Amino acid sequence: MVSRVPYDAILFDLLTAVVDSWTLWNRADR
Amino acid sequence: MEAAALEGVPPSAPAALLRMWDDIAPWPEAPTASKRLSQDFTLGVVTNCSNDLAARAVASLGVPLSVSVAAERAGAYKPDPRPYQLALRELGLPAHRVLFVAGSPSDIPGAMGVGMPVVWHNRLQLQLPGGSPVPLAEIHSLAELPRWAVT
Repeated sequence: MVSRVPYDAILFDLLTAVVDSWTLWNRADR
Repeated sequence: MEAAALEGVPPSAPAALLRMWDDIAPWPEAPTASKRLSQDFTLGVVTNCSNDLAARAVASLGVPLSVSVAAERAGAYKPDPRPYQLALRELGLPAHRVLFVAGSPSDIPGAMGVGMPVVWHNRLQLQLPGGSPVPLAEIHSLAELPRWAVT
């Protein structure tokens, strides 16, 4: 079990972790 | 979009992507999850696109972010350390105090390489590439994130 530690901030990868750019890429790739 | 060409996508795809860009949508739980997390954490994004495309994608989320670093502004594409390092500088925090939520597998070594703990939001249930460092956790929805970020 990994111990959890507190963080002050969270950074996200915008285009894959927050918004769904996969679907858009698939549409663009047709 | 030059990066797309390097990945072997059809020549028409980048232009089509730009035309459709404002159709981009957050994962369904992302607005609620990020709003909840914003009560306890400073939130930001790091992304491999232009400043304009990043701003439009952030707007689709509908939740204000404290830091937004696009490759254009950082002068390099992830997993080069510079975009991550610029975000850390703008947060004013050491890497170990910042949890990075990766989407694509390439972000895992990139973010871990500058010292951030990483949770992998593996939406497409991809395989971890051979030789990749192992993230702190793997989740399949942002609704699972508080379990790893909130003490």
